[in-house]
Amino acid sequence: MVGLTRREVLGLLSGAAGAAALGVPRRARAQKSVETLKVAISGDPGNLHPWMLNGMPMFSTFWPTVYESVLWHDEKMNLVGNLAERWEVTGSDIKLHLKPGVSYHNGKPFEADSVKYAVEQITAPTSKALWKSMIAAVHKTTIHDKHTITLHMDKPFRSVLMNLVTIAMIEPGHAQAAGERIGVQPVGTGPYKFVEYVPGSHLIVERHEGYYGPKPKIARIQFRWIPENGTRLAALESGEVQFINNVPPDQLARVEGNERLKLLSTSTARIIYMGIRTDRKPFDDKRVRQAINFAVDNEAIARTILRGKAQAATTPIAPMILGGDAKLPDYNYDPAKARALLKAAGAEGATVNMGSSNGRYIMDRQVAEAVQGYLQKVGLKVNLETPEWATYIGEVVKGDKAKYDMHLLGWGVITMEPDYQARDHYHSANTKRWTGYVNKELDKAIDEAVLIMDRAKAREAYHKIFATVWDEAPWLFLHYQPELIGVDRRMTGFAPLPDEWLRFPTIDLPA
Amino acid sequence: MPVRYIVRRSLHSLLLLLGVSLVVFLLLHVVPGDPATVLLGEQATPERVAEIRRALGLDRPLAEQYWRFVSRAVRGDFGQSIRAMRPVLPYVLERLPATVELSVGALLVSAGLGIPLGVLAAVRRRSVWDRLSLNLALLAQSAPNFWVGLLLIALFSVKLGLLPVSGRGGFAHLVLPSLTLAIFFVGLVVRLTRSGMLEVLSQDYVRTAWAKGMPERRVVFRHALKNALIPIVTVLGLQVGTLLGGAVVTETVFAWPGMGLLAVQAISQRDYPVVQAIVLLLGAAFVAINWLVDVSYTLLDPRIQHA
Repeated sequence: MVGLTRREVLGLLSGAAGAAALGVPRRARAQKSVETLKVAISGDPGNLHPWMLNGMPMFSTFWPTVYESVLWHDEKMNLVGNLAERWEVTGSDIKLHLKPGVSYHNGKPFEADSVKYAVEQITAPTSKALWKSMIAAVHKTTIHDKHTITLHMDKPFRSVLMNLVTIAMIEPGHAQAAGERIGVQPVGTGPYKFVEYVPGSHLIVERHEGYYGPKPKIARIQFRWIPENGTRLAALESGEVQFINNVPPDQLARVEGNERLKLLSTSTARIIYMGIRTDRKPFDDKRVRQAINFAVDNEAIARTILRGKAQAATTPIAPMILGGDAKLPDYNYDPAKARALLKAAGAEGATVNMGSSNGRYIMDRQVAEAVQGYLQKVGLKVNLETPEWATYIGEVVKGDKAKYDMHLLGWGVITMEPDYQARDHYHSANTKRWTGYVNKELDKAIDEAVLIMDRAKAREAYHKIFATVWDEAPWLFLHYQPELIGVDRRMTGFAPLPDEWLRFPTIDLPA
Repeated sequence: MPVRYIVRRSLHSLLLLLGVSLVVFLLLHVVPGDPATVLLGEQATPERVAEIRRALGLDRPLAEQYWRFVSRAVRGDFGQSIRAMRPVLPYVLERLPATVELSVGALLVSAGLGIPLGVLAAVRRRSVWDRLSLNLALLAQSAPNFWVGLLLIALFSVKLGLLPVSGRGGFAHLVLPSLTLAIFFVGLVVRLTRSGMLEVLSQDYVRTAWAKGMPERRVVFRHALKNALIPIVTVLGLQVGTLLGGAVVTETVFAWPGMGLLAVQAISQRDYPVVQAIVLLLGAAFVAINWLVDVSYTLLDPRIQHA
């Protein structure tokens, strides 16, 4: 500019820039997120070891925050790469191509030896890992290079591929050094790293600045354990926390009616059902089992007891799982038909000893009481017990010696793999402890279906399997359990998903 | 100091603790439910349950398991938590300060509210203060403390926003849980103090003190209350043991990370080593406190002789 000194030009330019900044609309500037997200979870994990813990939602506090698996689910529950970028299945081998440039929170690189270590530790004969059965079919691993490893099986079990979502990667050197303290000193590859765990009180994680993927917007998460429903809700209402799980259906109004809060819900891959002992009279007769399904109005139960947040079961397995979209004849509520079936089977006025958990699943006791009522309406005499969990599950797994003719349970297929349910509940090798159901043809179908890698063909196979199960009715099919999350209304970046993992790293909450 | 009495009392206490350890061990193994099945949950196959029971030593004969437990316990080794997979003693002791803090808070509230109200009721017998104190005591003893806790949370935390809802932190975090835990004991202390004071106030030496024209304050606090305190100290001493072990409901309502909550979780999970350790430690605390109470009698009233 002619006639102006360098200083004057710089001054003008700065002034112009300042004026422009003041004039920029507020929403165009990046909004600051809260420094610490405060979460209240209903149960304390007790230890943070991903191989030694069984149960949602406790997992989600440290996985996928601190720990990650080689494979994962996207929001549509498709199997996608995570620490493994991609994979190939050739015969009975699964080759994983691991993401380069990933390191653990202690700076050690994540490489193929981590996967080898995990597989060997979990499948060892003396292993106490609770997820052992998920990958027990892997008998050998071969490391090709730092980022390529093959898992070898005797047969091409599709389930093992799907089950890899349950195998979290632990840094081997740290695991060996920490020994039993690994449960309180987790070191993973996740977007958050461990800061502090006080059992019974809280867990704190903070953003891992060296994370290879998108960094979380929130710097810290503090998880607290509040087992009492009323207290957990109060903590959300008072603003002490911004996220809670397990909002009881009968208290939804406290969240939905509060202008500061909102309810997030989804149907999960967990089916709630009552197993029926098919190895004792009169339940060995299919007509009796079908009568039980016609006698119970599972839609009314979902509508009233679960306040419309649950979906009544229309297939033996949640619809979003492979094969769960089978179109099956409806067990519509029909007490007259139920009575006719019972009469034809000579089971009118039969006695049913029923058991249910109490607080393990959402409204489990209340659902069992409703089932009791429905069955009594069609003339059955029902004795219902609802003991505490350890006593209850101990009785149920006595199998043919269990006192319950019917028992309420939930089965969560967090791997989205149908074999996980079909094998455990409908294959006669495993049904002794649940229903005693034996069907050799079905066994054969299940054994064959798990070896089908092609998803379209596998879907067809499972349609047939679930159609048989539906017709044979070794279960009273109730509903798919909902996930009910209460959060601060301003929260974004989070939605509960059917696999029940709570994905905290994507959450944003304005300060 | 009656040495023989103290030695005898101490031996008696040790035998008592051994008895407690045996009872809790047997009870845990007799009640339905198994740690391996609970750990595996719905995934409990007979093979995996057997594997884990073997790994935990639960397949050994009961007598062998008990002997291993006791012989280690005397050395301070209570084994490993089945759930947490960590040594039990430090795991449990981590929770002790929280329970002690809550118990002391509740004790101070019980004594701080209960004794003055009881004294007032006795000194102003049959007045409106007396009736008010007794009715408050009855209400306090009748109200279920989980209900009281939830009510206090709804009012002071959610509605008024004055105090935290849950968890352990500074003094503010201690207020509601202490009040909740103390509520029953406040009622008990009011009634005990009132009846103790009434009995003492009717004694000849107190009448003599009145007759001598001694000020009311001196008669009540220096002469009457000091003597009425003996049964109150006994009860408060016994309550400390109850408070330590009985804070379960309060700790659950307020998510207070104490031993009570841990005990409940350990029982539901059949985490045998943790339950055994907690029962023994609380039992030892209870026994020790009772021992102290007995000894303190001698200090309060030299006339009390120990046979």
